[in-house]
Amino acid sequence: MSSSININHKKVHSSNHGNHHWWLQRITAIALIPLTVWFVCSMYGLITTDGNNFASSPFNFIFLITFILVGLVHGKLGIQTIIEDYIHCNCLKYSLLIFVNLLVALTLIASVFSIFVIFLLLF
Amino acid sequence: MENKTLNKERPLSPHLTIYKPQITSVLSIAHRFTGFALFLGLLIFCWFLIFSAFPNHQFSQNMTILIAKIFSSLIGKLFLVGWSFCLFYHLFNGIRHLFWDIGKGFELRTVTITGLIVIFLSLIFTIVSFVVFFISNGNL
Repeated sequence: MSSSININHKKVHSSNHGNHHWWLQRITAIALIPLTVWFVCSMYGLITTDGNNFASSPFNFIFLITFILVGLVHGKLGIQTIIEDYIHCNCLKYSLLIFVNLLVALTLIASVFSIFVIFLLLF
Repeated sequence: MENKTLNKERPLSPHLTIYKPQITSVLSIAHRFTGFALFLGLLIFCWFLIFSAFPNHQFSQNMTILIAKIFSSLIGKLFLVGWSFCLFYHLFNGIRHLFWDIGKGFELRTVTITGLIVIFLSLIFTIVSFVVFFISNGNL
């Protein structure tokens, strides 16, 4: 999973992937602070009161999509780190990494469209 | 002898068996563990949303009802309270991590105090969750 080029028969590894991973993890983490506060408040509100007004607000629409998107990306980065740390058998490691990435991508796309359906078509 | 070292049967120093759990190490592994649990819960939540968007489709409808039933039961609510603890703990400890990333808060005393604050806040917020899930007459 690292990009490298051969210069005079020596492998030179690009540092971009690790750095990118680190920054993306921090940026998503910062974004998730207000998003999580919103998520907790709105879920408590949904549970304790009548939830019919939830789907009529555009803010709920935007924040729910953003929360799920950013949360899944942040989680995927973390799971990648866990897999890389604990699984040493290359065959299992790479197949798990690919599987998690594909599962998150699928869940992401399906969730966004489903939220569109719930907010715009069902209510 | 050579084959043994090549096949990775090398001796390993003891770690978990000899080190006393510290607030630093325990909170660190808890951060990873809660992150993992949150990811699984988020996936379930997303798929619940996806299935609930298609009430006219038999399979989707069955899945929605099944998930709603599971999480309305006693065990399900306990899982939700547990997931809430993971959320709050990971959130507060994450903020602590972000301070470390900008270089602040590495002194041992600060680490201990902020660690205890994180645990305390997580427990308080989880208790609120518990009240919301179990005591208020909510529609889950």
